[in-house]
Amino acid sequence: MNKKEVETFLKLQPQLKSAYDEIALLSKKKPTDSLNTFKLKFINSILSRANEILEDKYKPFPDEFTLFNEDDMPNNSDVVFILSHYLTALEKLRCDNITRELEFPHNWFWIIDGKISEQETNRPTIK
Amino acid sequence: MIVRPRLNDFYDLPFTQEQVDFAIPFLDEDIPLYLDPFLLWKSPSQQDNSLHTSIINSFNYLGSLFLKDEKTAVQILKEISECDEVGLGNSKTKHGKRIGDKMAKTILSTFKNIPQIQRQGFTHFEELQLLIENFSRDRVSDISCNFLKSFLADYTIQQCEKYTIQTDLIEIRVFDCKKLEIVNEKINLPLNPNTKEPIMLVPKRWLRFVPWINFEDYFQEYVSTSNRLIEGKTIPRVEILEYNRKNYDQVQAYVKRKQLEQKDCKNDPLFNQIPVLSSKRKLSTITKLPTGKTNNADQEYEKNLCPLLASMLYPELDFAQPQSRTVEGVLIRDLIFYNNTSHKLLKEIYEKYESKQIVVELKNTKEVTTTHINQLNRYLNNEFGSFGIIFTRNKPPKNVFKNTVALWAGQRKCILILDDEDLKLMCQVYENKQRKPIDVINKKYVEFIRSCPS
Repeated sequence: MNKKEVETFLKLQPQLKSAYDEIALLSKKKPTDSLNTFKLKFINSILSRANEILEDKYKPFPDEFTLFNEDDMPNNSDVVFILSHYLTALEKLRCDNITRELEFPHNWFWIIDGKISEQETNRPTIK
Repeated sequence: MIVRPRLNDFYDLPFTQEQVDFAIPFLDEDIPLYLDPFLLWKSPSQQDNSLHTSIINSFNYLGSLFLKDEKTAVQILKEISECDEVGLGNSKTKHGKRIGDKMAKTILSTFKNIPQIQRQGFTHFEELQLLIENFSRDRVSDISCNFLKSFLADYTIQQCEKYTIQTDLIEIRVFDCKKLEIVNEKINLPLNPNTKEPIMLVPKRWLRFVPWINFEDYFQEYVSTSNRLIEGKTIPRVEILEYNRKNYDQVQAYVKRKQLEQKDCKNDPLFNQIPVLSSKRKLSTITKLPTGKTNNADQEYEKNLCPLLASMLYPELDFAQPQSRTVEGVLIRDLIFYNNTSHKLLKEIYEKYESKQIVVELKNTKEVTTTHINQLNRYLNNEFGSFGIIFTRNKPPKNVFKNTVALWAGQRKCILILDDEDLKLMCQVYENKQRKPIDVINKKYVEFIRSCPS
């Protein structure tokens, strides 16, 4: 990943997480209710940016899913399902692009343009 | 032919009742509402208040004229007792009957026989419903419209310019409140394309099903507590009217109370959506109904689905009317909606399939067959264009769905089949308000088009 992609990632992952949390809350209450077009527009915006950095290699369903179509009236549980897969895919991308420093205290850093950077990150959650 | 045509349908003007300030007139029948002068009296608008004053002044002038020149006053009242141009009321022909000499004299004699009215005149002339036999809400409405005709003409011209409704120069009879007589005036008004008679538009905010001051309400509030009624005896209407004429202060007290309750007086919309709770009940009734005709289940299906769809698809689709037709000995029930292109799907239906009205066929059958599809296909004509919807109970079999796809591929006709599951989704959307029920039809359309060969 390059520096710009890491910056995009750092903005995108929390956005996706909060969208997921919000819709998951709605989904718990009314899983089959359709999501309104206003929310769908922003979710699609997040997903479209995610698609750019994930590319086909990391996209959860590269052949079947790109964005939500508002004509399909996706419901809350549909959206939660997709967002959760995207969250996992993003985490997988991160895990593949971070490394642990050799010296103590062995913190984790992003690999930018093939080199270990000074951008610290959390330990990986997916092997 | 357009089913229950309205002025805008004839001129291909795509606006919905919700979007415009006036009640869209039907071409063949009256709008089933009445102008209630009380709404003008209670309106916060100074203009409406002055128009009410103008109605009352003009009517009271007729009363004072009656005391001096009975013949002229009677003549004027007879002429203003009907206002065909506005087309309000229950007439199926758009033509009402004027009152006769006797009725006009009876009405105006209140100025002679009731001292309070002789002294001060009326403040709400709809009180006449409580004083005169056969003076009903349509007379209140028509007389008011005639006194307001000059204003309504200006209002109509203004609205016609705004919505590009075609107008023509025509001579009409208008009550001139300066000369205090009926005069001929040439103005530009829209014409009924069938009869070439002028049409006047009326603001929606002045219309109610029943005037705020009315006999039934008076009876309920005052007379129903009478000992005679409690004892099980009846009180003839004429007797009440006679009593009111002799005890006008009773009427005044009632009117005063109605004035104090003015906050509750609201105009009635032309169409009322059913509440969510009621929609849930109707859905539950429908889903429990057996298919076929067992215990008139088909009629129950229509009875429940008609108000449900009309409410859920409002305001995007204005409901025209249900209709029954017989094809090959089978009774078919349809719901007809006006297509006012107020949604992207409706615009596409209008442009691509040339449907000015949308036909929704109701089929309470276990399974839709190709025969049903072919029946609807044959029915799709000029006004309905090449688009139709079948509402049925279960998902169509694959061969039937393929048949609709083949129809699209061969003749570019689109027949969508919606079932109980889609209806449930529409009701859910109607309840949670996150999307519009018409989006469910759009969803079905998008899915259908995806299945069609490109």
